[in-house]
Amino acid sequence: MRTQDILKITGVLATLLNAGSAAAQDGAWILERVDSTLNAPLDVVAVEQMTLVDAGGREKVRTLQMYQKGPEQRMVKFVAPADVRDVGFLRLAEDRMYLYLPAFRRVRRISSSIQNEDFMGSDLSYEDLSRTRFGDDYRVVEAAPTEQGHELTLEPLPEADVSYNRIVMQVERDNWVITSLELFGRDGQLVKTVEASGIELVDGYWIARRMEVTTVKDGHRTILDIEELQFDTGLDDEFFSQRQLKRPV
Amino acid sequence: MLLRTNHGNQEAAEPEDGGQAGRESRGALGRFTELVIRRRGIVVVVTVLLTAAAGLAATRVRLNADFVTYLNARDPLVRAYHYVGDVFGGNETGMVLVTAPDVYQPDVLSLIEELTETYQTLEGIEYATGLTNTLEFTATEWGVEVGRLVRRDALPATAPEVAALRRRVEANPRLSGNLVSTDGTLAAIQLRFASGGEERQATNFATAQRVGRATEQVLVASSSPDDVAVYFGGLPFLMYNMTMLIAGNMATLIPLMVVFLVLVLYLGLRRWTGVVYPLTVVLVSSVLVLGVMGVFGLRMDLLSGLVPVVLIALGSADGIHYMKRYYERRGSGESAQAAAASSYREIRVPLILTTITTMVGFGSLAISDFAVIRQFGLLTALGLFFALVVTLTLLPALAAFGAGAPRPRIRKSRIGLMARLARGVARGPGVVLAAGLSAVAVAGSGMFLIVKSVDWTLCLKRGSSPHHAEMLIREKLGGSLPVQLVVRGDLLDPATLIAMRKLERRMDALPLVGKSLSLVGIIAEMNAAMNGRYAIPNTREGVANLWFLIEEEDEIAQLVADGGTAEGLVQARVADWGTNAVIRAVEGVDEWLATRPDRMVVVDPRTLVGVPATAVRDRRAADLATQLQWEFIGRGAEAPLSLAAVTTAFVEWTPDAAARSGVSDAVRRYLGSPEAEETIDSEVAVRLAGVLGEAAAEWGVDAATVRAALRTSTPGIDERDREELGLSLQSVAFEAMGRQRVATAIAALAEAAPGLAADSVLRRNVSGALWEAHNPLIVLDAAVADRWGVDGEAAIRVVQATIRRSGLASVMKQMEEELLPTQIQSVLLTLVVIMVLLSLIFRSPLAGTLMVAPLAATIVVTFGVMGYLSVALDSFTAMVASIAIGLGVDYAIHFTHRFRHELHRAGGQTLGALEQTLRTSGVAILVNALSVGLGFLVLLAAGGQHIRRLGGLTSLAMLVAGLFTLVLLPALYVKLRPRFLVAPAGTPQQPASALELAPMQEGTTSAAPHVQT
Repeated sequence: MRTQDILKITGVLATLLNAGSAAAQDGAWILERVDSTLNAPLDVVAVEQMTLVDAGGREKVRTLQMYQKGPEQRMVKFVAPADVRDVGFLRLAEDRMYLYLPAFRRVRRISSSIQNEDFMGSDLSYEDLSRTRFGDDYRVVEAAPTEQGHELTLEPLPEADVSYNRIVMQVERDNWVITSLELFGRDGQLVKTVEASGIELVDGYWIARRMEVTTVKDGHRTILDIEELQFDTGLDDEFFSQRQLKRPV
Repeated sequence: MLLRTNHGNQEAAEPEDGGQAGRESRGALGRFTELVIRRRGIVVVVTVLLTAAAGLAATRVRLNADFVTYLNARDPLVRAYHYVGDVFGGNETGMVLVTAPDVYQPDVLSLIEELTETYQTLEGIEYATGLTNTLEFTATEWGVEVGRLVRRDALPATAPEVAALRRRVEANPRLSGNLVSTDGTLAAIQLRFASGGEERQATNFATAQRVGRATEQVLVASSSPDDVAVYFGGLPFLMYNMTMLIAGNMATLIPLMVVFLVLVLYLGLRRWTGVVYPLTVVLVSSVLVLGVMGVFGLRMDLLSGLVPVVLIALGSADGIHYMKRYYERRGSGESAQAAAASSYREIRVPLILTTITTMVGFGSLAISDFAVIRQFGLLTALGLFFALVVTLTLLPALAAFGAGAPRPRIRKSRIGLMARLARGVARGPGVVLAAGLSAVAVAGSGMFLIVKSVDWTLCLKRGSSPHHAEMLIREKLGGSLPVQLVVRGDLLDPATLIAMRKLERRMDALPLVGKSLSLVGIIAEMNAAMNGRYAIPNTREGVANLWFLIEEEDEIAQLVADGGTAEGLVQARVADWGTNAVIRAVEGVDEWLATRPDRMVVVDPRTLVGVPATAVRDRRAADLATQLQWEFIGRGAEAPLSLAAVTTAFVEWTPDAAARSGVSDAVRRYLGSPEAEETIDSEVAVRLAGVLGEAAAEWGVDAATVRAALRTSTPGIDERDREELGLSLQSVAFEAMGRQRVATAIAALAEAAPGLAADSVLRRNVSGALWEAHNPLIVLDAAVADRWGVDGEAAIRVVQATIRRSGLASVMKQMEEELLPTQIQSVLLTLVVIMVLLSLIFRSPLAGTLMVAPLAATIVVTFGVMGYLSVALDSFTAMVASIAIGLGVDYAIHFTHRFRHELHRAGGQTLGALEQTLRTSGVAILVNALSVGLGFLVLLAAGGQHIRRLGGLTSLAMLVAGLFTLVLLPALYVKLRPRFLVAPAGTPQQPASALELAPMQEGTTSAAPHVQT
């Protein structure tokens, strides 16, 4: 039996057992389910369209190819527009990130201090882009049932070096997919919102086809639409290398 | 007709005139007088109703401190100014200044962070940029920092972190001296105010208020140290403060002027009715003007805020004349109604004449291109008209209700003074004239010392917080007045960016200009972090790659139009607001703009031979020398004399063995790095590096050589990988060669200019300029390229990029250029119109000329004094001449009228007539000059230095005009003996030589002039 099937069954059972008493559910247990769902595939290869929308409604569209394996390794390569084709970002660990600008034909390591900076003009920070397991840095301080599932309130673990001091997460009961996030900064102000939609089961994995991130301060939005998606393609660790980062898409 | 009526009225004023008054009273004016007095109740009620209505309309008047509206809205520069505001998210930058002994201290940084965050979400603020959210790109031992100078969520807290931040800021001129003063005691948060469109001033005002309140809240909530202070500077705050100043001035000056007027009226007339009635006239006329402003939607600006003050100072004069006559009549036993009527008949024509001439003086300001001056002139003229109408309607109506008898007093000393003056003038008019002219010449010579300048910060009270803020910005941040240039073209094309970079260098090298900022500085900074050179990348792809990383950033959005790449902004700041500095700055920019082409061509000189090749090489060397020279000047350093030699050597550089060895090393290192496209055996790598090093020339290694070498050395690798590897090796070789070339030039320059080694920013910039020249391609003026015969495959592409000047500095330069001609025109027009009027009134061109003479002398003296006192000629002080003419001509009219009348009475006896004139009208003129002159001194209590100067100079001008009217004009009359003085109107049969003085006898109190018949 595949992992995702076990997870599905576990989720359904848990839902049935706790029907009508979501408040009683263990928040940590729910978060574990969420993280498991997020990290269920062995690897992911996706083509996504990234649309940046500023407060005035002006749009910029970019196409990118994303490779992910496990919670750490991730590579993003831009496909379009033509001016930025092959611009790439590679993350091997929190302190090992690389940027490739094809015009200069050189890979540059980028400092880990940029974790909370926006990734390539989007509303996603490098930290957002890198995160695959909430439970590594956050704990659930409050869990409440909602019509669709659960609302979890997360706060950073004492040793965690993260940008958000509170996250309010909405999770679907049926599949443990995150449907929305409210991200609060260190001053307690709401910094960003994330809305996920188009939730569906693809090759046995629950995914959200669309994700919309909004920066509250300036109303800037980033919409990510998944155009192509492949799971468990067999990417090996060597793929996530500087050399591969330089290879044209 | 006017002359006949005038003269007739003058006659009618005298009781012994017999018959004239009766005839007049039956005329139209006479019937009007009777009507006003008979229906005085209605007159009062109508006036009250009209005033109430005007008062209601006046509540709609809004304040306007927006400099740009002071100019013609249709002016192309004004339009360009608004365009920049609309397209680049506002063109007005305010600065919040945080001062502290050390702004890098954690608690101060925390305050800056809090303030910046607060402003970012404030309505009306498009962007807020400060130390804690500005972009920064640096290469560190841990990798490239792509992002912010400091992490918003992790401000430096320890001494080493603070020291590191300080070092990074000091190494970056975009930050040091811009967001933080070089001495570390001042940090600025730059606020880009949102474009408010038509209502920009009101919008900016409200935004400035919000910024103030928000700052207050942050300061209260934060635990900032006691030695931290916050100030607000820059145009939006300047306008905010000036708006407050207009309101403050009105609130202070109007009551002060009223108090002054009450004093003058009481001292002059000694009756409370004499205080209340004339005061009512000026207050009513002031309210009527404000009502007109409200009805027509006119705004109260810095100058029109003074209209009520000026009206109170001027408009009361007519009331004084009327009430004086009225009390005389009452004293001679006439009833209130009879006295009201007869006084009215006596003074109405002189009043009308003097009002017209004063209106001309102010009305002439209407030809100014400055909307603010135009409005001031027209509104004051309108106010004077209202004052006249009210004096001729309400005042007789009030007087007819009864106002008691007068207690006239004439001081003996004044009589004695005037008598002595009359005798002196009559005895030696030539001496008086010579002395007067000498005094005018001496005082007037100061005119040559006059400096022209409009410094709007003078509007701020010295020592006030806004003034302190402007001075801080000037001293520590290079000023707040922006020069903006709009660049239209492909902003991703290096040719366009290089043109912008040259513009920045040019501006930074100009005196009093600096802190240039545009997209290119940030692109160069990123290139320095990514590739180790502070220069524009050589290719469009390179620019596009870097641009991609920052295009969504707020700081970038302020520098490009609509977030796109078709239009960009280059901005610099002028160190002070004085127009002389502004003009020099703008002209310097214009000179450079005139030399640059809109149409450029990118040329590959490698395909050129012969003359075009030499010409292109020489141009590259000369251009590089200029760029380097500007870099040196911009950093306050002296360019080495060997600059031209160094740049020529740089351009003609050919790699030596060491340089080729450097290429080999770089290739070998690359092949051993994890980013190399293929893993190559180290021995093979060394061999390949050697081959490429040997083949390296000025621009590295060409593609064919690399391809051949790779094919030989690495036969087994994938063709596609080999192609990619080849491209990377070409790039590595090109860079390695560039490093050698630039290092050679830097070493040569450092030898000649020791300052280069000590100034890391200069070294970075010079190195960047050299890197820009390490480019096989060159950008040329398309016309020059044509002339040199550069075409065919050498001409790679044509680039179109226009650069147009805009910004407030441009607007101010235009204001300055328009100022003097329009003011001179205004003064000349006033003099001519008044001369014509007087010539018509007195039916003699000579009359017009002579009566204008004291005014001309007054202007010369006033401007001379301005020169000696170093008071600059600006839009405020330049108005003094027109005002002085408008007011001063009244004296000449009153004097001439009376003198002519007294001559008639005295049978042509000059001394007697002169003595009598000076004892009556002369005293009145003296009192009036003193009261108006001193009245304008009330403006010394104004909040802005410019208005205080206007007040002081007008005061001086009035006193001088009064003095010259009493001394020079009679001397001229006695000396020249003009006919118009004895020729009654409508009597052309009068003899040509009208006036003759009898021989003076020692000891006589009066000469015995007689009229020849």
